Amino acid sequence: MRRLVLPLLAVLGLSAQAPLLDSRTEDVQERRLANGVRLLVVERRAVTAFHAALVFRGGRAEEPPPLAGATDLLARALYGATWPEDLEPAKGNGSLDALLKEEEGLLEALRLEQLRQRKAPEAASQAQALGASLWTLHQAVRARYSTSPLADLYVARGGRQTATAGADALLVQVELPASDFEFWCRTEAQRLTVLQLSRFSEARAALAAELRSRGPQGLPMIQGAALPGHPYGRDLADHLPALEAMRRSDLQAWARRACRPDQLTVVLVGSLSMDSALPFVERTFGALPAGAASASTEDPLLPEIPADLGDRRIQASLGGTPALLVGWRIPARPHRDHLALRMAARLLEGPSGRLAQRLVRQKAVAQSAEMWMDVPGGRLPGLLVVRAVPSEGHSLAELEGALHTEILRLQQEPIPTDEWQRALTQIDVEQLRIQDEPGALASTLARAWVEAGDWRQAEQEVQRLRNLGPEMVQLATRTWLNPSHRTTLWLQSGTDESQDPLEAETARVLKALAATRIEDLAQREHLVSEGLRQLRMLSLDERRRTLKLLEAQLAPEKR
Amino acid sequence: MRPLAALAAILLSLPGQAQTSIRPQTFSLPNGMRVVLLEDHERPLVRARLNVLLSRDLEAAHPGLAALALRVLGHSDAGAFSVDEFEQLLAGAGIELVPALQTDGLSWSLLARSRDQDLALGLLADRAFRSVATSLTLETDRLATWRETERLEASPRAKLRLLLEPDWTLQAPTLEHLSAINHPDLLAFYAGALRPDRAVLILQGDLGLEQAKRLVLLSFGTWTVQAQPPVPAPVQATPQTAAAPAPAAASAPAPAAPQAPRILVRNPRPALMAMAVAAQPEDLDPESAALLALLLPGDPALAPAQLRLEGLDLVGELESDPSGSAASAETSMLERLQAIRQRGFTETDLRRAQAAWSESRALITLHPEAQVAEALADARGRSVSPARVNALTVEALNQGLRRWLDPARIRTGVLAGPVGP
Repeated sequence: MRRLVLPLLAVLGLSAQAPLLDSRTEDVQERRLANGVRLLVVERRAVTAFHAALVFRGGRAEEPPPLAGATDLLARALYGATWPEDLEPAKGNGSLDALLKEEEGLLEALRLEQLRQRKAPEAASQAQALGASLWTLHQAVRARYSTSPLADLYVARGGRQTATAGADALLVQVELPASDFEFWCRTEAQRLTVLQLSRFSEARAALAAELRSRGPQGLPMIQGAALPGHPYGRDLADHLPALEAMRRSDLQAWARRACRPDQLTVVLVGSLSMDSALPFVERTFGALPAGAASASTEDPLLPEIPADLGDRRIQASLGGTPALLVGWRIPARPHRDHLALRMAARLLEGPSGRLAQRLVRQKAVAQSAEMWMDVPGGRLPGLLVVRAVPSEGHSLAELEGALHTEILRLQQEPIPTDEWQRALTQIDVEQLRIQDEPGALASTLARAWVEAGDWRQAEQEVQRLRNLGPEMVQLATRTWLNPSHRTTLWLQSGTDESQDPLEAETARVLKALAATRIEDLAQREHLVSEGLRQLRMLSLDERRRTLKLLEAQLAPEKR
Repeated sequence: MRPLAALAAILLSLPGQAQTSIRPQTFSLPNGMRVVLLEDHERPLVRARLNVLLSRDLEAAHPGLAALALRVLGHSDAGAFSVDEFEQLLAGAGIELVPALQTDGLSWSLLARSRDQDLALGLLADRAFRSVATSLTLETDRLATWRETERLEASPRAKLRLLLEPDWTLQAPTLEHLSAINHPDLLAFYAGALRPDRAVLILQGDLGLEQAKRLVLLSFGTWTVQAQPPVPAPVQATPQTAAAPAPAAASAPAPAAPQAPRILVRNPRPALMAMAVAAQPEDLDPESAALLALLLPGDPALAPAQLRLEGLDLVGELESDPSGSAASAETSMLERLQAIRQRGFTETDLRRAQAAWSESRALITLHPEAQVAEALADARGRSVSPARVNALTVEALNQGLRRWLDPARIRTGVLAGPVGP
């Protein structure tokens, strides 16, 4: 057994100004099963339960466009709850699986019928009959569901479960009493074997309704503008037709690839030792078939975006409070400058950070200022984003100027020692908190494996952070937080985007143009959404001129 | 190692682990403040939560007073420190101090390294009872409080949820209500609400009992009940939303289906979602509440509606076809809740819920914050007793269910698209 000792606390104790912390160390033990599953165990003797994280590397960024939303659907349909009927492997006539296959056929027929109706509204429709058949079928499917109020197997055992779809991974977290560990292993292996997805249609409808009612939002807009054509820049709301066309069998096929053993790391934090946990994990997770070593199971090649794409600007009116969003393209987590940028973010963010101090309290040009690192993920080059809301009587331009002044100060003026030390102290406390909360520790290790390629980075980065000097932070900010890496979004108050006449007219013309060239409705809607998003980056005059050019391409009767 | 042996290892380790649960130690100060210590030296961290019960009379006089008062406190000088110095002291030691206004009153949650516990508790005390509330930032804070309670930046769903909030402490005041609050009202509020005899302090982490006693006495020993200024005159302001219906008896008949939603929030995109919020009855025993909170969200009779517990409220949501009627969506949501209320739970349901609740007790060891919350509930007499959970009858459970889902207590609203009903 190879024991790997986390020297985190000892490392933190090396600081000249910080006294030695508790000398106890944390053990993270690692095993790799024959089929590729990784197992990390952190034993905590003081607890009587365990926190388990299943992390599947991949996530939204690896979804091909026709399967956009697959990770979110897996989070809801596969891991939203633990229904007993989803663990039944029964196949054949009359089984739940057979009914769900029938449902898939009816749902697809209904979708195609609705598309036909949109193209030819006057034609006779089968939609009503299909809808009635679907309703009857749903009754039959629901009759197979458990009728107990405590049907969820984990809730019935006092546990809880959450699943989160991210750009880099699907993260599932479960907490159960220690005595249920074997049950958990069996259940999770069975879930991945059966891939029943009994609530697929409900999950898909709920996600589509959520995206449809959500409307455009600031963060996805700046991601799309800053990372054009990259999966990190994708807004799921632009892929609704693809999502609605996705079938249960499509998602099952995707799950077999995305959730294969070599993509999975199991992190256990709690009252379990490696010796007590490993036999069960080997017998259950270890029995999952390894993914075929073919081209289809290799990591996809994702497009690279030059970080210095140029200064980009967007203006949009979404209604509500005006806000300024500025995003800088930054390197992925394994890059040597990433840590320095993390330290820069630490100096800028939070109640005692420079943005709150200078923009909110001293200059009073902002009501609030927030900052996010690695948007939407850290495995690939992403964004460092600042979102600030102007105070009454201050414009977005004024706020933007003040923000850039702060960035310049960080790049050029020496960083005071007390400010530097404060940032290091906050990192100390954050690390202690992570060590103290099993869920936080599990997700930190999982995230390090996904983003940096190795869970050990979770502690090694803290050590390297301590060895950074202020000059390295300034160098990194000069390299990355500059105008050529920047995208700026002005969210103005006032009318809703749907009521912006220029945008509405542009959408109409784009749709008419696309209809003459693209047969597939899903592709057509995607093209229009993408076109509108690109056009938002232009000035008002440029948008007007573009509209005229587009109109000129339309047949006269359609202008 | 073979799986059977491994299972034995897990099971054998459990009795020993159970003994590691932390025993609360309690003491009081002469000024009436109660303190609960959960001693745990596993890591060099200390958590604290100071909770002060609010009197309903104070908030009834001025809706929004508590929210505004808490915000003003956050921008006030405290003890010997200006607000900037105070923030720098917190940041310099990496101390997290988060205020909150909840159904159980005002609270401050604190996290610090144990080496900074003296400073941390001193700053907590400064903030709680040595703050010098200034009138300089009152107007800014008033506007910010209004923005926050109006949720100008929030999603339409969050706005609807706020409009349906049944708890008086958390309801959104109107700008009119907030405008009527002046500096003397704030001072009266602080004198009336921030009293040691209404306060409970929970300490968790790396400090012993004697150390805790010394620290708490040093930091909070001089906290005294202030002379109560005259109670401010109530504001006569127009309520922002439909008034919450008065609680009715459990046997009250279900009202007729609503003709139109009482509260409607517009979404910029097509949507139709009915929301129902049922506040936990104040006199519902904690054991029934705990088991109902387990049973209700997963009840299949709700499908396709979703039900979850948010604080002390049950919140139901039902998504409908955006082309449908708002009133029928609301009725449909209510019908589902009433179907469960009339059906009730069975003896089997009760036994399964009792078992699930007992099992879930182990999970608290994974969450230090939950240990603090449980100790606070215990100190306030709201903790769930394992013995009473096991003694609960199905009749008592269903009686609690009928009270919680009493239609007269449920507030409903609809999120609808930009045009339509």
